[in-house]
Amino acid sequence: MDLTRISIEEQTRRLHRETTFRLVSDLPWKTTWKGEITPFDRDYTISITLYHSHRINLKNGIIVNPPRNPRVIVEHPDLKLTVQDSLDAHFYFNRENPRLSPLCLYHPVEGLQWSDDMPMSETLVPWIIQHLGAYEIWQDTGTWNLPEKHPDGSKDSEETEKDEKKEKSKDTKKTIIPKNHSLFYTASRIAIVEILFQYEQSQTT
Amino acid sequence: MTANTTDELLSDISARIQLPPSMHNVAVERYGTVAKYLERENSPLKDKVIEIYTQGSIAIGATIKSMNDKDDDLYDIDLIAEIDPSVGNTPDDFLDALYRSIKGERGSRYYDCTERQTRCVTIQYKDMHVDITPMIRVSHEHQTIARAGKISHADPQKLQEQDFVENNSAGLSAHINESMPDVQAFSKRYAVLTEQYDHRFLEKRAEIQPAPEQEDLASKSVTTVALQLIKRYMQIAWSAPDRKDFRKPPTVVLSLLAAENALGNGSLADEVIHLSKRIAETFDSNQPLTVCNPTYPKDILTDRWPEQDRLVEDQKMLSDDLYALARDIELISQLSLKDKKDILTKLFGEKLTERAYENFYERNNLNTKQDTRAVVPKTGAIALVGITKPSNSNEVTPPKKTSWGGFDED
Repeated sequence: MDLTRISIEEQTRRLHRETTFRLVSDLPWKTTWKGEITPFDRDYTISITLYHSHRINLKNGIIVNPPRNPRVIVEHPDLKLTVQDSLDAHFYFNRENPRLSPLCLYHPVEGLQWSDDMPMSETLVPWIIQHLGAYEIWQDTGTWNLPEKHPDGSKDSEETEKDEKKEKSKDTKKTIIPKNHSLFYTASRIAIVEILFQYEQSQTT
Repeated sequence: MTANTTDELLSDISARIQLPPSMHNVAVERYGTVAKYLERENSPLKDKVIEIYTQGSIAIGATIKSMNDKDDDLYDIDLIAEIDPSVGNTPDDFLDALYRSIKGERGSRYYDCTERQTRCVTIQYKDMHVDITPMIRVSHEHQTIARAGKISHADPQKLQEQDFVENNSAGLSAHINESMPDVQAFSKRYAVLTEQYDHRFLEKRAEIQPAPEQEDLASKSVTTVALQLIKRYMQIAWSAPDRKDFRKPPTVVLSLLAAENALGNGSLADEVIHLSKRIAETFDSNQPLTVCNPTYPKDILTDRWPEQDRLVEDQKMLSDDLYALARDIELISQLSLKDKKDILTKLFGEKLTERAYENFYERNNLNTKQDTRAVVPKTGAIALVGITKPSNSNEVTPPKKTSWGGFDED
């Protein structure tokens, strides 16, 4: 896999060539693509939004947004998700509008995460297909058929448990996962903005 | 094209109701044994049976499992026994002679499992009902048309109404077999599925020998499989308590109409929809419909259906049922697995659908926690193993990751 960042143009070109996803908006701070996923026979309209690292200069400071995980939303149909559904079927539950609950495609700390050196057509899109396929099977059987892990540590898949045992046996440093990792990231962003603001202040004085 | 989920599930359902190849083999052996038994020394039909051959569903490869409460594997096999006309004069004479010849004496092999019906004699095996219909060939026409003849209709309680009925089921079977479209791509893959089910069947029935490879079994037409699904749907529909007084439409009529209206594009779902609509249209009439055997027009296939006092109502019921089947199959082609399952359960039965899903998941490795499952980004589909269509060359296996969860804080 190429380790250099893949440009938005290149991502769009590959998505167009290899998937059903098409560019719908490209702004300095985010880019959105939409496409159709049909894991079995039911069609799902999906949006992928990529948030870019950017800074906004204000009169008394600078807001810096670090890059964030791509946000993948099922635009249609309405899955009518409940909190429990989201936990079992791996969505980040949006309390205000459950329709906008993004898919939790990968663990935010452990294992592989998406990064902008990866072509979305070969990673994100296949993961979305797998995820929605697993969602339909979960609706039928009540079982999630992909390796899984939950923020509270419940329902870890056997594979993940095996990996953990391996890690322990090697006596390697254990990763501490905060219970609410999203809050952790929000706090990080505020800290970065604060540090940058202080840096800018010191440069001007 | 990617394998289609609805086609895959319909294939799994149909494979579960097929006469397994090894059971076909058993049926052939059994009717060979019956033929020899009829030739025994003290048999009333010794040297009087000219030929025994299959007719009806087994002759066109469209046999399906019977409906029964225990969901046992039970099949109906139909045979014609051509008998020397010198055996008797009345329809009852021939049925009676066949009945006595098979039943034999107390303690003999078929004594406790032989029953006489109005048109045939039935041997009840634990896994099979073999109906043997006596036929005689007497007229000039019978001599000029291969295997044309007349069969007996004689209810022992109403012998005053007994009569002969013209028949050429062998000609009809040949006509149907010739009319079924030959979609090799479907048939070859379907044969693999049938073989898998046969292995499972043999695991349950250790006493049965595996069937030798048979070319005719390995080339089942997509139209025949669709016909079997329609027959299963009708078994379910006619098992409803409010229909217990109604006579089911003769499956031979459905078989003929299926063969003559075949679509044959290779999609099982399309075939079921198409045939259901065509057969429904045929019976969507205010006039009683008569369907004849095209190889022998004196053989009236609708001679016992509909019931004389209900005529058009029975036709209308069949027509409405088949329009509904077509609508449901059209609908499920766009539904999620769960919603699809609810409808398939209603159409074909709960156990059958449940087992078909299990097999579908197993075949496609969808029942295990694995993230090395291939997908087709170009169509947005999971790459299925594909019984009904070839696997897709645009498949991609994405890198492994782990599903996570939590709340959306953005």
